Amino acid sequence: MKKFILLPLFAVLFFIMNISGAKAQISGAAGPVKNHLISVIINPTYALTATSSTNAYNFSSATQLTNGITTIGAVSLDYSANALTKIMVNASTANFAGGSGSNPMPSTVLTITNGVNTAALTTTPQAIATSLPKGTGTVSIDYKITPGLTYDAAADYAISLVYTLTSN
Amino acid sequence: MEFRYIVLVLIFITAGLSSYAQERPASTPGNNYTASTTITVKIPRIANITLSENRTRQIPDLSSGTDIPATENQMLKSIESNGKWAIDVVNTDVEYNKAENRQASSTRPSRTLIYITSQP
Repeated sequence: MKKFILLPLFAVLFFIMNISGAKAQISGAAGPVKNHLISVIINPTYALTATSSTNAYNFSSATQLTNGITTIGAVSLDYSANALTKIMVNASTANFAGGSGSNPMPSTVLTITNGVNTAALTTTPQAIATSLPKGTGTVSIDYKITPGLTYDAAADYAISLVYTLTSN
Repeated sequence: MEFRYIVLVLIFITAGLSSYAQERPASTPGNNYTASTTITVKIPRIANITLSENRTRQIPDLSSGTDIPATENQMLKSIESNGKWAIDVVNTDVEYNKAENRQASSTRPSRTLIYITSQP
């Protein structure tokens, strides 16, 4: 029974002695010691730039309107991120501005591809490049626009595309 | 006495870690991560006219009209256009030169003149 009482007592005494010894060592040092905690916060960081701001298409024949015009490397997207990312694309409006108000040209006449993923442009964001690695990189985007013969002649058709870099 | 210090240190450490966890922002994008581009498109009023011999003539601007002197056995087969158009077919025994706005020849054999214009 005495063992059960003495053993914890010895353990406590041993612990106190160790603490005192450590304190004695610190007291014998050259000066006071201060711990300096360095905290680092790394937020998810994304950056995306487009190398060209405007792409102009000037159709001159029915064949072009029917078969479409393709532009390889129409825009290059430079990105940097500290996480796995993907690039989404969407149209700012459902239809092109300009032309006939009663027969507007929809955004879907424009097809976008990076050689792997292809999307007809809509106002709903669609993934055009996925599983982009951390760091910096460039994604080349091709455009193909095929109005056909449905839409009126006009010189002021225009639409804005929005590319968004987001976590994968 | 030392136990009190130990307990106090533990309390400070715990409080510090808790505060750090609360102040750490959620997954908030740190920088600009969108880019915009604009696409402009010009579509002229155009048409293609296909004749029976598979000859295709492009009319760059229907608003000014064009004429097609069809030779023997050539007949209008199809028109593809993004505008409204009208066709006048005139039988004549002379070739009509629209550019010079006069009869080019009166010695040619009988021809059919197809004149296409746009409609508003």
